[in-house]
Amino acid sequence: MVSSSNVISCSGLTKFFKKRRVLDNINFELYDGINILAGDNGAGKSTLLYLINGIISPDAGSVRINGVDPVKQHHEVLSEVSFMPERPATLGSSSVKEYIYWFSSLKGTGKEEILNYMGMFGMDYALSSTFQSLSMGESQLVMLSCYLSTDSSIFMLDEPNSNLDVSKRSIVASVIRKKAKQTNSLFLISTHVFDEIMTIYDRILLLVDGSIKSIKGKENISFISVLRTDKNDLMLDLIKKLDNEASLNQDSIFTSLGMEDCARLANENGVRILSFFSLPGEMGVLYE
Amino acid sequence: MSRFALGRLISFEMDPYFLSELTVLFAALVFDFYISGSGPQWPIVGSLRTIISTGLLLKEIYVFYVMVLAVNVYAFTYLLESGKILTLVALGYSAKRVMVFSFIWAVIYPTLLSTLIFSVNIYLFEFGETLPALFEMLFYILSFSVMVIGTGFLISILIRNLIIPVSSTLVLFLIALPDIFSKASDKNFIFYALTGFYSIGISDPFSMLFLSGGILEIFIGLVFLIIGSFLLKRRSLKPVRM
Repeated sequence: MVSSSNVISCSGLTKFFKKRRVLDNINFELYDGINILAGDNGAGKSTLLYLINGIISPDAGSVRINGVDPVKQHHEVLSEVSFMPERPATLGSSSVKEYIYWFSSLKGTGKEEILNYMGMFGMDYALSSTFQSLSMGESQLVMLSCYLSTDSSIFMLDEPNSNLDVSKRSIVASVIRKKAKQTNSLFLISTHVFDEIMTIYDRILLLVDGSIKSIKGKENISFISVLRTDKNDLMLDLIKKLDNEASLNQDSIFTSLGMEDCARLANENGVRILSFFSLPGEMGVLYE
Repeated sequence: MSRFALGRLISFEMDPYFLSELTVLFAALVFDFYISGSGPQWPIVGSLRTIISTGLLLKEIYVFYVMVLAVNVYAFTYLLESGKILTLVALGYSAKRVMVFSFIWAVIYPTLLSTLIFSVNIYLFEFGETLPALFEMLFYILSFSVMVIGTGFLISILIRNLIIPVSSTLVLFLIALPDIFSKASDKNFIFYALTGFYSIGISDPFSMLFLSGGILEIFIGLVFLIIGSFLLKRRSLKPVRM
């Protein structure tokens, strides 16, 4: 069931596990589109998703999904939501076919639709397999096929690309983009892997040490380049002539120069670029 | 969402443990019937003697029965620690509902199994016992099951480990509680409740002592289940990496 506009709102959300403050005063509102929840390992991404889905209760603050409290009306809210935990367990025995049977019985989704998604991910062959015989990445794709196949209006995926190879990450990103456009639904995807998934977002939430550091729509985001070379010190000196705020951190150079400028400087001075990627500027904090 | 899917799934998840329980109970049957030589040799003259033999019969299976219940504590701990409960809650089921379903299955399986095996095979065929006495025996087994499973559930929620909840359940009900409370369990219904049917047969099984003790066992089990489901809601359901 797809509604015209979905909203997830968090207000003053705080959560402790024993004495450790895992989330601290989280406030935001999210709307339809693809929302990426980015953060380091242990930043509190999964806990935030559990709180949003009403799986655990907050110690302070509140969550609303389309105006409804997911803790008090868990069943009603979750019937509109497809939430895939980081490592969903198998259901029944370890057979893929049986997993699909139980998932479709429990979530009320059609088996054909699941098989359709498995086809898109190139996973048709897994239907007659057991999860023990599949790799972590293959299992993740089977489960992702199930969770994406529902007719929910809100999708929350906890680290859906953590075990996938580069080509599969690219396919997953494009399938998610297509689904979000077709169904006008709200996606909230947590990740600490900043590659293909960062090409499809509408909004990015940056979670650092249990606090939201920034929320930006794609129209407001400036990017930084992160590169590693075989002569980092020389390359940094060259870059600093054009961008004096460039820095070297954890063996990587961070600069506001684009790919073309970096490649030109490297070519002119005999430096080999070993890796290059660009990140939303605010995410540089994750490398500090 | 299919109406009975959760119940069917929990039942299906419990099937491997059902088979283990069946094996343990058959082992108990063989032990009781052929090795210890009880059963057919017991006198069946008059209602009092047969009633007392009911208690003795239950006492014979006590160790095996606690082992059967420990298998169910393991089953629940596995559901929790493998992330299955988290997965079901993420699909829209409440943690309490999943726990109650697991609790019901964990109690139903061993109770029905042991009643079938011990009551039908030995009790009715060998002793020719009456039906009311059969229900009395069912009550002892059921009330004890509720207490042990409730305790086991609470321990498995408090201590996140696959081994400790099972071993604690075994130690508690095989060694600690019988050692501490069995001496006065034929006089005090609280002591009887804490000892379970380990002490049955040393007193009149149809007395108020046993009925009150049984009700107390059900109460303790349900209170532990409620506390456990409350704690389950408060804590992370993420599986522990083992």
